[in-house]
Amino acid sequence: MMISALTTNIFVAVATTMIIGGVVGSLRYYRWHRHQSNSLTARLRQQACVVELGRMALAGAEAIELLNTAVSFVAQGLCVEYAKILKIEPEQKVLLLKAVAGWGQDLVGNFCIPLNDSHAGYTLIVREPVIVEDLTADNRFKGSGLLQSAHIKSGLSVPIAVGNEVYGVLGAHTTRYQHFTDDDINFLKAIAQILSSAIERWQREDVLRKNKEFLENNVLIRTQELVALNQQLQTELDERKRAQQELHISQERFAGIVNIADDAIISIDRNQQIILFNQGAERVFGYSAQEVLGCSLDILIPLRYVGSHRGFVQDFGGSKTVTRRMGERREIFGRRRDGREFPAEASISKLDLENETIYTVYLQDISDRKQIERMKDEFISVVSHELRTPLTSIHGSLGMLASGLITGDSEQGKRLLQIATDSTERLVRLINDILDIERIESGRVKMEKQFYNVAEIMAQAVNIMQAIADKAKINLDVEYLHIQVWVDADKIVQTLTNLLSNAIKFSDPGSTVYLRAKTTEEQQICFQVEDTGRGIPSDKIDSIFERFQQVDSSDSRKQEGTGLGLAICRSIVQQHNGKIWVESQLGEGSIFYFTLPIVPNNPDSPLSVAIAAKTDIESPFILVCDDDPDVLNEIKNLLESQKYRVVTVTNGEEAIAFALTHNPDVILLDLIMPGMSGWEVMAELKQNEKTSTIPIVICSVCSASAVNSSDEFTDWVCKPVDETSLFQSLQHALSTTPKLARVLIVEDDPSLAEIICELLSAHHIKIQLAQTGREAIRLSQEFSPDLLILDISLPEGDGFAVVEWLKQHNHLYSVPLLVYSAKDLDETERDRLRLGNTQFLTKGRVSIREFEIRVMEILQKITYRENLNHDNLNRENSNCESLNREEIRHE
Amino acid sequence: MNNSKRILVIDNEEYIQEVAKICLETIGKWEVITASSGLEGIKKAENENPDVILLDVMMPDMDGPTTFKRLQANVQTRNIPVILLTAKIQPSDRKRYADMGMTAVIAKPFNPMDLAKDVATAVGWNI
Repeated sequence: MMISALTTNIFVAVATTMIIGGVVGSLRYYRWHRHQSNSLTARLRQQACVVELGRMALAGAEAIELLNTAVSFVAQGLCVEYAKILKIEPEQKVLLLKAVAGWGQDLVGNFCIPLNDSHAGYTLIVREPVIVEDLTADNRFKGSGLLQSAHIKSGLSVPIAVGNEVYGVLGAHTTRYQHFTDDDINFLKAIAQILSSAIERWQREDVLRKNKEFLENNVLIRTQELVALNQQLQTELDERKRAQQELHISQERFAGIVNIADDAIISIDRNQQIILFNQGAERVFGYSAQEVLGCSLDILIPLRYVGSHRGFVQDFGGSKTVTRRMGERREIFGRRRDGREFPAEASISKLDLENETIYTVYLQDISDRKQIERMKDEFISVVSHELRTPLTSIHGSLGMLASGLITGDSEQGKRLLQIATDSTERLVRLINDILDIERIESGRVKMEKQFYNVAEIMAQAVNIMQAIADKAKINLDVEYLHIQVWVDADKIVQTLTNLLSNAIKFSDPGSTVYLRAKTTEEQQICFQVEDTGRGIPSDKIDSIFERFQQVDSSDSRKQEGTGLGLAICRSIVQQHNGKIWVESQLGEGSIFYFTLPIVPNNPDSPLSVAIAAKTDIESPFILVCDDDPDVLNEIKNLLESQKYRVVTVTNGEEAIAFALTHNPDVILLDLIMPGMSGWEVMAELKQNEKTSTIPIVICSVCSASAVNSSDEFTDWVCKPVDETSLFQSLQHALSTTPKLARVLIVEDDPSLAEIICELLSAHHIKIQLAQTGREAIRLSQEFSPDLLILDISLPEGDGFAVVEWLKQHNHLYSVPLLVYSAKDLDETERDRLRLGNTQFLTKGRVSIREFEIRVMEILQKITYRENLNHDNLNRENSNCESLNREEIRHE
Repeated sequence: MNNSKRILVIDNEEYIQEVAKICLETIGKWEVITASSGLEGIKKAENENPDVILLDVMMPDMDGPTTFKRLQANVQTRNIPVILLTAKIQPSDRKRYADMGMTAVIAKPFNPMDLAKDVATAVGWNI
């Protein structure tokens, strides 16, 4: 609109000029005309600038471009050197240079003009176009530094208004004195107007853009917030879900624990109604959970305690403690479903929930414990009585004698002495038995199990009892069983001895006591001890194996029993996983039975394997020499099935080499072989001192009659091999061939060493003596003993060091060992000292004769071929009974 | 035997009977008769009219307290003082036996020199 108005003005001005031009002429006209013509040109130029700037503004030019164009057009349109646009900065009260023409562009955006005393500032104050004809003479303002430094003389400026606000100032300046016309003013105003419109648009756009940016920014922030929130929610959700799962698992686990707990766990609510009843509670009380849930707790409490119990729970409910042990003041009892009461131990805890209190009772049925305590008390009471009884007789008898009222040589005196002696013996037996049974049952006495021949065990027991049977005029009838069994032989001998002793005691003179052993279908050995004595009343059959349960109490004195013998037997049998029982007819006799497993219960366990390996070392070691591998295989299988250890070689040279290094118990030798013949091998073996005593059994297709009999071999087996004759021949070779047992004695006390050597040399035993640990180790290698007798305290390495060394060397780790020391050894020390069959004797606790018997027993057990002095041994068997009892305790 | 006092010793342990007998006869100068069980003791108490009974507690068939009750329930024997001989004695037992009406309790093992004195004190005799 502005533009069109201007255009109209310009047109009118031009038309008027043309009309007047026709009437006036001459120079004046010309000058005027020239002036008019210049003015017109200026007007046209100004118009063009306005039109162009307006077009640019309408086209949406950029602000900087438009402002720069505007100052440039102003300079052109007004024919001035300088033009500028200033924007007011109200806060700083200055005007900032936004665009310039004539000045350096570097000032734009940086240079400010004060509002006071400046052309532009004044323009803003008056809000009208301000013309300066001569700046130096102007009294309204001095002019800014910018104008002054440019030596400005004249200028024109107009305010730029945007809406009702002032934006800034548009100014045109020149160093000449210039007169500005109304047209000039109109031109500048027109430019300012265009800028005003453009700036308004920019400002609107800017606001819009800012709003948009703000909105977008807000949306972005909001979106981010939402995303974050969402993530947080998701995390929380996950967290909660996990927590719930954990809670669930934990609850299930807890419920599981609660449910399977051995103890009864019962929860009740405020009204003492049952809300939880675990499996333990079901077991203890006999109710199912379903039956009792919701019922009053009273059904589980003996009627007489119901009231006090309710009071207790209420009292506890009011107290500050969270858990409390029940029954501190009195014993507590529970009531089972069938009405029976039982002693219990319990504690109670409470859990305060929002508006409910839950009480949980943990209860343990202590019937068994009470029962055991009662039994213990009873046992102590009985033991105390049993001990005091002989003590009373001893005390009474000796007291009377000591008083002098009765003399020792009077009839009464002699009787009292007899009573005191008998009672003392009874007391000793009793104490031994009590200690025995206590130690066996507590497991402190370990069963030293090995494979033993049942017949050998039976023979030992019979040996011990024979003298007693003879004295009582009882005939012992024994059926031996030849089979290996896995037992502690000493303990089984003790059991048999005990049963035989009972059988003999209760049999009439002239009658027979039978001892038998059989194998059963359950891979067990069943021992039987049968008598034809008075028998056991049926009401005592079950209790006869209990402690102090004799059929007749006078037995304990008359029959020299303690009332513990059968209880000890039962303990020993039970420790072997066997059973013991009795069948009896009153007046006709009794049969005592006990069973033992033949092999260890779990033959696959590493322990059993180790034990089997250990046992193997003690079984006979046979060298078989034959050039036919099939024969070798067959014999090997046969022998191994009977627990022999077997090594096979296929020629004579190998046989000799092996015999020299490994000292087999028997050599089974083929005669016809390529290379060295059996005869040659035999000759060589007999010539060498190391192998000359090894028994040889010929195993040949030739028959024995075909050759002259010879001292060089022990027996002859014909091929094909007959099983029975093979074993007979081997047994023969093992049992008859003399070979001196070799014992290494390690003892640093010369006098004791001398006694031992002398003692053992009477038994045709080859003896070596070592007086230090170092010597013991050296001689063990050179001498290859069958038995090592070892003292513990030694110079140059003690007994432990010797055993430690032997454990790691060749076959010495399995050499039988008798530890004979003054030192009391504990279990750990004993374990450290174990080699092969290891036994312990304590110096001072056993006499030298007892020591001798023990050594001979060991040698008999481990070297079945010794030429022992049987006469000596038999004579000493009568001492064995007391020794056996003694030794069992010592071990 | 002075005053013709007669003591019945009931104990299943024959050695204890014997020692007690020698003891009481030598020191107390009393006549001593013995029984090996509660039943035998009751019979002897009925028939032989002892002045005091020494009764063992722990006996297999009939124990001391039961025998005592039987003696109390019997018109012929109820007035005979009974002294209990026991190998297991606790303070609570002593009171219980006194409440049951027993005259005294003597613990085993007893001092033979004190036995007669204790019996005499319990029943108010002079030695």
